[in-house]
Amino acid sequence: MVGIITVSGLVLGIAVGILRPVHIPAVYSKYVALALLAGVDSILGGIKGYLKDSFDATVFFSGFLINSLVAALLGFLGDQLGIDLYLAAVIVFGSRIYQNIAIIRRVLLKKEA
Amino acid sequence: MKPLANPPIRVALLMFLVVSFFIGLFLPGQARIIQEMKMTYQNQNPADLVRVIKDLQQRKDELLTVESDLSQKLSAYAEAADDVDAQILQLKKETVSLEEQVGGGTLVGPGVRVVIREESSGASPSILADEDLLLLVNDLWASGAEVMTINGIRLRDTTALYRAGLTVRIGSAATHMPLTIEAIGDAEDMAKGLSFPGGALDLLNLRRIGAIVQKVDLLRISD
Amino acid sequence: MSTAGRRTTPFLAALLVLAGGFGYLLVSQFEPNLNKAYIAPAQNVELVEIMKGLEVENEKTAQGILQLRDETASLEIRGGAVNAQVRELTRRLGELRTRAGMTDDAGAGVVVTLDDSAKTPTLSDDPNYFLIHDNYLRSIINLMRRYGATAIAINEQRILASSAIVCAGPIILVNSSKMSPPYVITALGNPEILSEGIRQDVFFRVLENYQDRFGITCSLEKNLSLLVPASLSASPFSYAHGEP
Repeated sequence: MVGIITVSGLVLGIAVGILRPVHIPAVYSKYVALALLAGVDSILGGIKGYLKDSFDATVFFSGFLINSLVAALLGFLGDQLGIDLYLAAVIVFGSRIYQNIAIIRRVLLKKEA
Repeated sequence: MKPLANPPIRVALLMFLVVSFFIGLFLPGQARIIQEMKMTYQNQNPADLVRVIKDLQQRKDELLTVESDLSQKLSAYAEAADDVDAQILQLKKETVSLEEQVGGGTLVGPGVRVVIREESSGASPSILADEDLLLLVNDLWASGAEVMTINGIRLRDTTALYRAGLTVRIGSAATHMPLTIEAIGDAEDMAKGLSFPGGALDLLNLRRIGAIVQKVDLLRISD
Repeated sequence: MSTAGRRTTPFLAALLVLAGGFGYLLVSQFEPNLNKAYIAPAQNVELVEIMKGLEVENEKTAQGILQLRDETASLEIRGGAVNAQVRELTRRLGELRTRAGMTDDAGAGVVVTLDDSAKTPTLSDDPNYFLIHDNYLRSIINLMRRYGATAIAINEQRILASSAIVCAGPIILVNSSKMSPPYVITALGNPEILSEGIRQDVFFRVLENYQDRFGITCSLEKNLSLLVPASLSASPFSYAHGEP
């Protein structure tokens, strides 16, 4: 159920995004990408929580907002300081996405069995 | 750890919908900009971009000059609306200037003289290819030549350059090697424009074609 | 991980599929262009922004020039209505402007279209064959002149004698303006002579051959009504002067 909702939300968003494109200045595209990564991480974390019955709406929503913002800011800050700080976000969110996917997969496999 | 107040399932689903919607919303924009960046920026040497910017800047200056000249002319003309003599004077001035550009008069000015010689001796004689000559001429224009002749034949908008056996055709005229190219313009710029590493002179050298560039204070070009 | 002992065949099949897929990915990684993870140096991004800004500005100035020319022309016509000498001078000036390429030109002619290949070169290919280079444009222009073209333009840029075609990496500049493919080269003249002459030429045949082998676009069409835009850069000489 959550999966269907998430996918349909995504499809809806993409459809709107194609019909009425959000213009992203080239200079900021890196930060937007980081925010998107954080967003995907939040979604997967949420699904995981939902499947494990430990879903907390406040944590979920604030996580989405704060993580996206912080990821983008961190990337920006890193650029100002001349260090590739965005790599930290990429690694953290990236590995979390993998972990969450692994957990979701296991939960779903167990449920089916 | 159980959350204190688990919201009703509908709220939770709504949240998923909202969050994923926003992610989806930004994806196409992001994908597009990355695609565009890949097409325009990737594999690009910053030096090339700087070169392009320099050219565009130069073009900007040129266009602005043309624009301000035109608007000056326009206002002068408008002021002289009732003064026929002033109008005639202005029209004559422009006619003279255009005739210099298009017409057949004699022009003088500083510039460069390039002499190109094929190597006829030795085991394998070298031959100047059309493309090399086009590049050389092109690079002279690119570095600010205003008027150009090859062996005394002026290059015009419709002049083609090609070899036909031993003769070199320059538009409807025919000439032979060696070629002497004379170009009026900023001599310094033009000499530089030919001799940068990997430029036209390097290429000619590679093909074993001798090219001598000489700056001249006063060239005289006539048809 | 205790499946191995029980059912060996499905396991081996799965392993085969995985290994095959992995091998495929490994090979495809070696294809140039595909495997370049996207890293745009921050510097490049900035430079491209500057470049785009300049392009927009130049386009605006170009429009301004065209409009000023229109206004001048209408003023001159009005002046010519009053005085015969003004009329005569204006006529002469119009002729000169046309010869200097400062007016639009229309008529019959040919259009040559060149474009980069949509195919991605593989490791064994030379990627140069998949792109249109500045010297292709120079040679085509030269061919058009050879077969009697009276006015030529690449995309929106009028080609005069002094028009330079240069490249900076993959970008081609004509009249110091950035071109983007496809390159549409328009030439006015006798369509039959132009198209016959160009088609017969070795250089054009080489390009057609590249079209077959590497997928670049190289087409030639006759057209009875073409428009070649006016040159914007015809500014007076600053080094060359008439002999006193």
